[in-house]
Amino acid sequence: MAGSNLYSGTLDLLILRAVNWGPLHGYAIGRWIRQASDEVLKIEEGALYPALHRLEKKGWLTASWGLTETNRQAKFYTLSTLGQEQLRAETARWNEHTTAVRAVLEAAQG
Amino acid sequence: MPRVPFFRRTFRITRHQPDVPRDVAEEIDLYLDLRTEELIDGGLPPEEARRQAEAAFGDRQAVEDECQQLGEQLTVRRRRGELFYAIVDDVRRAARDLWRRPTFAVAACLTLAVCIALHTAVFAVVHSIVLAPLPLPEPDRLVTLFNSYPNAGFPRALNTAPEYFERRAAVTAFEEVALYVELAHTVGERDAARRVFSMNVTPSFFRVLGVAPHLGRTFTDDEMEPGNGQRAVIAYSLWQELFAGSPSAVGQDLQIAGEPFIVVGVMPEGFRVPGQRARLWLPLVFTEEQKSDLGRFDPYYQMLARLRPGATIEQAKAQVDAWNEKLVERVPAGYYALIEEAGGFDTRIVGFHQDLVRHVEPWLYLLWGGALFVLLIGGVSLANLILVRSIGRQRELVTRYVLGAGRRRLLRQLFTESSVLAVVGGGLGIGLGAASLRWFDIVDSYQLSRVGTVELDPAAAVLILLLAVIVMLVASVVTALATYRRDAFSVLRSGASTSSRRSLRLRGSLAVAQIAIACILLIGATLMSASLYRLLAIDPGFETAGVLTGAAKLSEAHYGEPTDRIRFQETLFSELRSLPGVTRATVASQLPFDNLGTRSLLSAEGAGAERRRGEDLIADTSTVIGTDFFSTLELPLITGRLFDRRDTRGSAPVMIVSESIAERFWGGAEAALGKRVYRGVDPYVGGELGEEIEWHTVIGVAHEIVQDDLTARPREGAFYIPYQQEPTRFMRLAIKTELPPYDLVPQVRQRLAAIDPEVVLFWVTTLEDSVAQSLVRFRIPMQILLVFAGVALLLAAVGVYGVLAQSVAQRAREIGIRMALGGSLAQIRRWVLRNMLVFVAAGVVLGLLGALPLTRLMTHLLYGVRPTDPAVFAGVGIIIALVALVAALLPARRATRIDPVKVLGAE
Repeated sequence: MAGSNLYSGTLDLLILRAVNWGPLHGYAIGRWIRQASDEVLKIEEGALYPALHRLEKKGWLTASWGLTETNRQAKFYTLSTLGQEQLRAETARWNEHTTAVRAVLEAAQG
Repeated sequence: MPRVPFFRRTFRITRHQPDVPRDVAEEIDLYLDLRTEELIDGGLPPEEARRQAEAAFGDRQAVEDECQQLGEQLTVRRRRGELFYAIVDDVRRAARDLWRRPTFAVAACLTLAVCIALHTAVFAVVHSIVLAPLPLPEPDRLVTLFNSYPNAGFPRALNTAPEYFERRAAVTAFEEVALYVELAHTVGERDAARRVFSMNVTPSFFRVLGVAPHLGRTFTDDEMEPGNGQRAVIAYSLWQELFAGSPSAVGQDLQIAGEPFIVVGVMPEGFRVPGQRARLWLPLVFTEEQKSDLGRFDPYYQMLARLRPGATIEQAKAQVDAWNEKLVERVPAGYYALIEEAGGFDTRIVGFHQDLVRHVEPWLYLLWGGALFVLLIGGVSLANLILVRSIGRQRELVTRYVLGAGRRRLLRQLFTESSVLAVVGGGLGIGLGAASLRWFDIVDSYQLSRVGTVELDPAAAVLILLLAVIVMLVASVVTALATYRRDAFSVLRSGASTSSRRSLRLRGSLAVAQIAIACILLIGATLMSASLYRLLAIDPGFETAGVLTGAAKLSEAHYGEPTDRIRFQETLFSELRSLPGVTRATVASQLPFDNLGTRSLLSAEGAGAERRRGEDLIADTSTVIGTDFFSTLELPLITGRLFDRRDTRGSAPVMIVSESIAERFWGGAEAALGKRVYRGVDPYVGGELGEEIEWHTVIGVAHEIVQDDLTARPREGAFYIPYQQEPTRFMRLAIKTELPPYDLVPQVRQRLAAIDPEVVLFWVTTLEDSVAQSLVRFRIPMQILLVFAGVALLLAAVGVYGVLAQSVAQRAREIGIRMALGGSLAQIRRWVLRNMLVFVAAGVVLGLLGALPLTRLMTHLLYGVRPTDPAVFAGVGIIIALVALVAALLPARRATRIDPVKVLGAE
């Protein structure tokens, strides 16, 4: 369930990208997306969780319970091997897609 | 805000019991808390920060619901995955454990494989022949009809053409009725000629079976009319051979028995009439006379019918009976009244499949029962093996139990190990069993392939594999329960000695069970052997040694005239008699053990007047014979004369009857000479027919001989007619020789070809082989049961050996003391043997007692031996005792070699 101004599938890609650096809990993932996009990409914050669970079910993310810096119980998500492959593939496809769209838009302008 | 307990924080242990709703709620709580904190840090008052965080989050309930759903699905899948990996892990561990103790694994697998192989082979036969439905649409609706004259000694006679037309019209319980006869024809011309099994059928035949042709059509009703019958339907295989599978075969000419036929249809691949070898079908053609009441005297046809959906055999039988009643009143002047009264005439209707397998079914069930007993003894042997093994690893299991491996975990391990063994051993057995079907004699000898293809059904294979797993599991669970000790620590403390005493007792009872089962199987096999022995001792009444037999058939086209046949016969046999080494040769319409079943009703002249009810009609074997028949078979006459040159087509018809006919009609052999008989029903009863009848004068009386069945009691009567007076086109040849009979075959063929190259020799065998073939139905089951008994004996012997060896090993100390105290070797040996005798006596007594009710089930399969024959029972007891003795020898020797110093020093 992507947010209002998110293309379908984009949220998944962003999540994968977020946990690429290491295990993160849901709040940290959401914060990373907000900050990394300079708050341009607005997601309905709740939609993050179904996306996380879906990716876990697909086997792209693995989850484990751990403790936050403030010693609170939290579910940490890690990119699985499958997820890494997926991230690579999705990134490539996204780049291709945007290149193509840009080309079309530029051609239309010209 | 849930607090994490101290110790978990310390060791950073997280809980592992998943609780999806709680986890999801907690995850979201954390988010909102942290988000609120973030907003407070940004300068908002706490309440406002919370409100904004919740607003930005959206519909919490919807998010939670969706996450929960996804989480539940994941949990389920994960649990399944875990189970799968656990099983894989268990299997791997079991395989490793088994591999480490290969003796046990190999012994268990082999035991199971042998027992399962035997069971598989037998079950495949039972299933394909008896249990599986016939490969035809709705085979349950197919029934066989035949007329029965039990009082005339003819329980199974064939049907007539008028009956076909009547039952088709009047019996509404039948959807369709068909007649057929089995034949063989020479197909093709000259060099390409081949003999093909064939059937002449009514056009309705294929509708009854419910099978449509692959190409073309089957017969139409008007092809039953004279002149329209030159049509042929061929089997797929014949189509390939004759026409190379060309679609243009339909409509082409085909030479059959020297006459031109047109191929109208090709049956589908794999189609076969159950019980038949036919690859060629021709229409039965009926003349008006055959359809009329006169046709009632020609019962030549097998009848097959298909019941209407929902109709029962009982309904059909009631309708046929009602029609027969009408015939008794109507058909020519009391004919049916007579056969009903004197012959006990009745029409029988039985299921087609049931009728086909009526001879083999009891044998197959007997063998299946035997195979199940083999499986049983296999199970006991496995229990024994598992027991030996569990003694060895009791400490290991108990140690693991104490260290926290749950009881369930250990049981699962036991279960996995058994399953691995069962799958490997059972799979091996099923493979062996299925492969053995190829050289399983029973298939050919019983001509089972005519009923159905004997093969192992995949479903049956799975079922048998399941059976193997069950056998293995029961064996291991029983052992586990019997040796299970509540007090694990005592096992660890005391070591093996106490527990192995328990296991010794258990092994003792297993050995007793093995002996008992082996005893039962051996009794079954021995009873069969005794039957066969008695059968072989039967004198068939004629000399079987040195007689080559064959058959030839003269075509209607070239030998339509009786005189031509007689000339051919005379030329052929004078040629054959001149062959070196041949002493005699004769023609006959059938020979003993041909199983052609040519029988005919016979009534004596004048019997009608002072008729003894039920005794003036006999249906006996009717044979047309050449003049040398009696001398070739060395069958002496009791009185009168043989056929000779005086008996020709022109002279008065003559007949030689067997003793029982003479006895029944005239009270003795001498009284029979000169009397007249009629083939059929007493013509004085049938008034109108009296005009054209042919009386045969009895000129000789012969001894009774065995016709087809050595076991028949009383023996069927027979009467003989000279070939000169009734020259048949079908000829059986019997050639008495001093040479090995089969050496003659090339010369016989050569002589035959010299006279007429179109007449070929077939059905070549010897009388001795025919007799032996007739005993196959006893010999094959006997051989199979002997194999079963042999396997059982071997397993029982191993069981006895095992228990004695263990007992000697355990009592080594006791034996050592005895020896040290001056016990003699003989005493020690006696002690071991006494030990053995306890098991053997218990096993034999149990086995003999168990066999009593079981062998009674075999009663009707035995010949000349009672199912409780004391000699057989005693003999089997002795054999078992001897085998056990042999099994005890090695442990006994080991006992006498115990060195007291070593044994006593070891403690």
